[in-house]
Amino acid sequence: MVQNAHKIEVRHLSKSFGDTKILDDVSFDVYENEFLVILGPGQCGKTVLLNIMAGMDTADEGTVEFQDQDSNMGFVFQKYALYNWKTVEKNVELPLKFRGVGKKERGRVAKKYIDLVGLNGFAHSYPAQLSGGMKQRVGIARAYAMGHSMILMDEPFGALDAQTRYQMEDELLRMRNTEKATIVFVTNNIEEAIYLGDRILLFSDKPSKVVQEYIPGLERPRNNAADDFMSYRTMITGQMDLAL
Amino acid sequence: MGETLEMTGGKMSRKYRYSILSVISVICVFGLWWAASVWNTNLAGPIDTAGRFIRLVENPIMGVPLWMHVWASVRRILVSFVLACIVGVSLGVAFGIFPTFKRIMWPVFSLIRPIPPLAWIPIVVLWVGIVGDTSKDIIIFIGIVMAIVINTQAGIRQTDELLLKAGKLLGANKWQLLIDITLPSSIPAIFAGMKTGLSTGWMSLVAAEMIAAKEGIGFLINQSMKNSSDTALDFIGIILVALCSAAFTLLLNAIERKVCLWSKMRTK
Amino acid sequence: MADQPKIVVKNLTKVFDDLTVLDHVSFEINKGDFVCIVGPTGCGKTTFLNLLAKLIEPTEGQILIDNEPADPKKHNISFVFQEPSTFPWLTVEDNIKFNMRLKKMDKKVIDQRADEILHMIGLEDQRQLYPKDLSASAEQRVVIGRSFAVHPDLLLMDEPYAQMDIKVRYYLEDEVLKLWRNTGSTVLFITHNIEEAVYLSQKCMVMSQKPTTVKEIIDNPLPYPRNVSDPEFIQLRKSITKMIRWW
Repeated sequence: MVQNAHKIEVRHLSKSFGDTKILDDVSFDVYENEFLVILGPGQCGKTVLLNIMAGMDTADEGTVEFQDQDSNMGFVFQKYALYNWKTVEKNVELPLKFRGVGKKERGRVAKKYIDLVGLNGFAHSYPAQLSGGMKQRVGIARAYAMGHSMILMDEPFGALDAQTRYQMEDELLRMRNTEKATIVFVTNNIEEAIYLGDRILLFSDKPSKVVQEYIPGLERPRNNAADDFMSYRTMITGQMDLAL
Repeated sequence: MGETLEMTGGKMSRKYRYSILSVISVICVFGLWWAASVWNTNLAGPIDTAGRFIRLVENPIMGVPLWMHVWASVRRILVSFVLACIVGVSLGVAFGIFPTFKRIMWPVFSLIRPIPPLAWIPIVVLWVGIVGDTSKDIIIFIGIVMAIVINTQAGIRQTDELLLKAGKLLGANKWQLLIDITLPSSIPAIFAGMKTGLSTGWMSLVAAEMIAAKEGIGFLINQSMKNSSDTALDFIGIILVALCSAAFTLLLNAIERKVCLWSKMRTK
Repeated sequence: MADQPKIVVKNLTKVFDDLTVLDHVSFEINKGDFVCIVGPTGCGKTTFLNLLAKLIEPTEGQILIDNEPADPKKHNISFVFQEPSTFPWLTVEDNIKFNMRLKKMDKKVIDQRADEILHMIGLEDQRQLYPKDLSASAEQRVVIGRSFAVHPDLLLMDEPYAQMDIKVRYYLEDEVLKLWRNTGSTVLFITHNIEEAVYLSQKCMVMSQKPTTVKEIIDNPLPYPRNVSDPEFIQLRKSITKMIRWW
């Protein structure tokens, strides 16, 4: 697989909360336009890692370097974090508004991404009127508006039921193919990781570090019932920590 | 609407059942009232009160028509309420977002808060004089503002952490966080404070008017006390307060529904 | 082989104001069965469980346990929710014993069963800890252990593992099967994860969208322990998925 230029370099990241060490000397690269999956057991610090990368939290040690210093990053939350008193359109526009972008331009960009995520016609709806899957589409549209070439996702489909989840996974791949972006996707679901990822980084239980890197060379669209998919799954399942 | 009662069957009768039950409960209250008036002949019953009402309209006390009394009370509430909203929300926001301010001022506020508005009357009268609306407005203001401050402050403090965090990630500065996220999310709490404040306001108003006023519903009630057999007038005052207070609440609810369109929605 | 079904549900209907959630649901379950219920989110699965647990009353229809109307006072019905519902003021051991003490079982039996359950769920060393000292998955296991301890007539589980990561989920699924085999309880397990349903169930009940009915009941004859990569497993999973046109 052709290695694209580094987009982000994470070096020797460590973080503790009180006495508990969550991240332990974590280092990895994120390449341009790749779909990178960060996989690990529950509560292992994946969210903390993502927060540090997004600038929401600081590490005790280590650095996160961006190749493009001025680039903005989009972020998608597991619990949507939409503003219930704003319409879909206004939610998607919000990061642009905070940045001081003019009304016309905001509207244009918002419309582009609302169409991209398949919510054409729902621009004036309120989040309370939408299903979980639809809410997350708004989240993704907003993330695209925030940082159109770099998006971090924190277990975005974790709150959805299994069928909606499968649907959203397909939708996400479709969106990414239409609007190229570098995606860093956190999950604890092995099947999802293999289905989505160009590259998978397996993290251990806390104190967390990268224990394995996988590049499932499976052809897209992937089939979660195919033999090669299942054997990949079995292999990763064996190597992931059981964090009871 | 081609639906007949038979088609909707159980559903229709359930809604009807609830409305009929509430009507019955109101009738029961009137029934109890009437029974009490029969048992104690000094007490005016519903019919006596209705008659007194008609006589009051035809023959106003001191020449002041009834509607002017009602308007006097409503006007006082309105003025105090608007002022209390402005001051109360500002103070509540300040308490909510400036921890230092809260640490310094909250103890003072907590000491003042439980004091009944009426206890301030001698001091207020000394300050602005007994004549005119100002003294009553201040008393009512005190009654309303406390609830608004407390509820606003609580609303600000319970803003969802996730929404604030998301806002920061989206690039909001401190001011934008307040205006675009914290305040809108606190609106339901602010309205709750307004409604609570209003009911305290009505209580303070009626009592303040009873003590020192020449017009208003409280004044009417006071008149009924001077003539101890005029319990009907007292009941008229009570009913008027109830109706006005209900009207205010309905109005606030309607405004809230419009402003908080989003909070009343359900997923399709 | 049971001559009479343990649980019989006839024409179960629930209407809230003008919203029909459940519409004439009928089915039978034999004693000791492990039945999974799959359906889309919001299809009334929780309402359904609440009706079975007698937390709410049906608008129409009836639920029979051992040929008598279901009655929490007479029958042993246990319920496990999605979020752990341990009692924070009781230790792990006391939590496990709670349901049994409520049913006024014999003290010797209570102690013995508690020991067995604690051993089966691997929390013997943590028996004196309080829920606040446990992880979410450990807490949930205490709840499940507590529910099985009374050897219930009917054990209702509402997506109990939805919040857990996949590895923990596999572990817990094996654990619940172990508890089930040891107690011979009849289990109704709700999930929206079809792989989980195929892994656990002997019978899979597929529910429709609201107004909810039983779309189909599928038998799962695969032998335990099951293997998710087994071709027959995958085949069954595919056919159930195809049957559910949720989107």
